[in-house]
Amino acid sequence: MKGKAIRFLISLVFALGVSLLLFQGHRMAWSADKENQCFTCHTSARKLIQITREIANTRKASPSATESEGEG
Amino acid sequence: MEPLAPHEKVFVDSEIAEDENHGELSCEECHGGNPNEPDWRIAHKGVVKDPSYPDPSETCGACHGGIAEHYQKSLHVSLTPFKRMIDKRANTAKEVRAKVNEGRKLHCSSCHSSCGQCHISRPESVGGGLLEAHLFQRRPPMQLVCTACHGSRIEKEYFGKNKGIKPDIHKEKYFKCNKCHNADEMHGDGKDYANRYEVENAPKCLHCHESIYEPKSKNAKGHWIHKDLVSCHVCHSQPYKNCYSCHVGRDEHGYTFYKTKESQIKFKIGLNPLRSKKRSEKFVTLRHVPVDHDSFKFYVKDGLTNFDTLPTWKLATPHNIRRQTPQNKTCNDCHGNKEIFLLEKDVETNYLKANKDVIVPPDLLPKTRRDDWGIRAH
Repeated sequence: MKGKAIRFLISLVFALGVSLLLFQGHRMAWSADKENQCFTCHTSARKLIQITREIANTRKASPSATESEGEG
Repeated sequence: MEPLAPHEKVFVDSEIAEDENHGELSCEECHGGNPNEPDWRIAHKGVVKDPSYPDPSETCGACHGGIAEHYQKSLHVSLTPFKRMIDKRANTAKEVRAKVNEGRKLHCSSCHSSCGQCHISRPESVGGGLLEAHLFQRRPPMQLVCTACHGSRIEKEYFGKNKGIKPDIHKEKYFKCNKCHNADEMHGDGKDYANRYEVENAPKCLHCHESIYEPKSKNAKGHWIHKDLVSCHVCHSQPYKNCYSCHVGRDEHGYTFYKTKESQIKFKIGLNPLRSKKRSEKFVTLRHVPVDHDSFKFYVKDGLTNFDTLPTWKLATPHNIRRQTPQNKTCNDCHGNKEIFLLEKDVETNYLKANKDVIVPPDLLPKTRRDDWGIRAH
């Protein structure tokens, strides 16, 4: 009876340990996502509008290309 | 095709993190750059916009190895036909050829594709921009990818956008490009084909219309009479677009441009310039391509001195198929109808030599039939 209880306890501890490890990994992935500046910026339309406007303003001074004529 | 606002071109759907196949890849694994840097200017240093071009082996190829293996030979990437055609017409002098090649690379070779430019973004040659906010598209959307590039000819023919010309019957049956042109054909099979008509797994009308020669099928007699004599398109295409005189160059700021003469809608049957076991028909539809003696004049004088080695009227498979067409209503809509055959009078004098093998000589014109009966395509 005592042996059974010990085995149950060991299994429980092992299962808990494994789930903690898995959960930790998942949490790390999410936190990594949250810190990824590419992801943060490229999933925000507001930020992208702001940056693309900035870029457009710097490009205004550049000469425009000659228009092609006819069908390509 | 609706244009995208600049921010829409690079907006990423956060749902990509849930993609069971690609969601675990971090941005920088494919695109490079610095994901920890909050200043976008610094963060983008070293960023590769399309990591699948020119070599996808470290990105897409890491998982899709079988497809990436043939990538370099796929005509959508290699553009081999452009190079071969221009090389064949080009001056053999080394310095001149190098300048022609410079022009070819800047202009003709800019319209390539890649894994990313079909499955993730619109092709760069039409302005790029992510398709579904970077969600990977197993089947590239037809109008944002395929006809975005194949627009002037195929799109207008297929959708019936040329004035007075009906759309392709397959479009009316809701066929998308990939119904006929499957992934294996698009990805290439590792063989270095000279042109798209040689591609072994390219579609053939007979793949679906396999019963046209069976006695019980509609118009079996007509199909038997014309078998190996004319291509399917000779009877079933409508008039299609022909382009002329393309000249390429760069403006004072270095930007590339091209100029072509006005396109013309014509239908011309000529002699098959690529007659082979696979394409054994004597008569085919021919389309005028915009090459000209002076196409690369901006880069070098006398660039295409071997211009006459290839015809400017090329084998064509127009994408505006109908069961009934103006030339197949009755026998004599084709037989004896000089208007629809490419004759000497239809070719500009300075192109005559180049087209000598595709122009139909008077003795090969099918004679008017006295018994204009029986064979109807409807």
